[in-house]
Amino acid sequence: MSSEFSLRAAAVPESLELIHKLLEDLCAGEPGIQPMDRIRFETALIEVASNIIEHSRPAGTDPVRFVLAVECEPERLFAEFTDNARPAGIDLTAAELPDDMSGSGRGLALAKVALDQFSYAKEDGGNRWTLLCRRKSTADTATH
Amino acid sequence: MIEFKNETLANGVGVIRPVGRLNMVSAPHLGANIDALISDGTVRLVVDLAGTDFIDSSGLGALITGLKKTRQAGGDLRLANPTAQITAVLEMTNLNRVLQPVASVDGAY
Repeated sequence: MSSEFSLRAAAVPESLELIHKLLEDLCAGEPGIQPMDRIRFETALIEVASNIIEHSRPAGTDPVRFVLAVECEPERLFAEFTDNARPAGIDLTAAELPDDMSGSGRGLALAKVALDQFSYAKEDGGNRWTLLCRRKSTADTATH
Repeated sequence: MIEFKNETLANGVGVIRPVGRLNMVSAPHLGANIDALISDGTVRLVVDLAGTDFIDSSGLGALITGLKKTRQAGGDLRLANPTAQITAVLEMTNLNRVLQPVASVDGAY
């Protein structure tokens, strides 16, 4: 069984609640999603959305908005964020965890660790992020 | 939305209980709660996470900043009752090395 959800929202902090709600709806309809897979996926989604909300600058006069599309398939959870912001040119290879005592700079590194595949692309008129979490059995997640 | 239900125990330990999600909106409030306790001279703190449904990197940053500030003031900041998501995020960021959860609020010090 597979399912798809999507939302379009303004790049404002209040939109984070919409993402939590979307994942609640997804998991309610897909009770087979393991708790640890949801944790990894939800954590990464919130980090990417927070990055868009905090750092995006409008490309023109329109305020920044993003579209989130989520797909749940038997083997994977997949999400794509697209936005209309000024292309940010983010280098995910540079997203590494900082020193333990650093008070900031963990967001994209945390998303990277949580996910199995993570990509960013600068596009004409915006930015595109893709996030993939391979669904694991309970036994696998115990040693993840 | 987040709510903070704080108390000071008889042994002088300050307990901060964030109820809700710790994210880019609420993390500054956690920092303000920690700062207020330190200003009042309460430098041994426990953050009781039993009611904290979710934490992101901003929430982690607020905890680390609080840990540094309490230690600079001669105290410490410890975590109690982390939920599964918080435990996973501490492990994924290796912050369980510096923010090792304790078994209970009462046993934190």
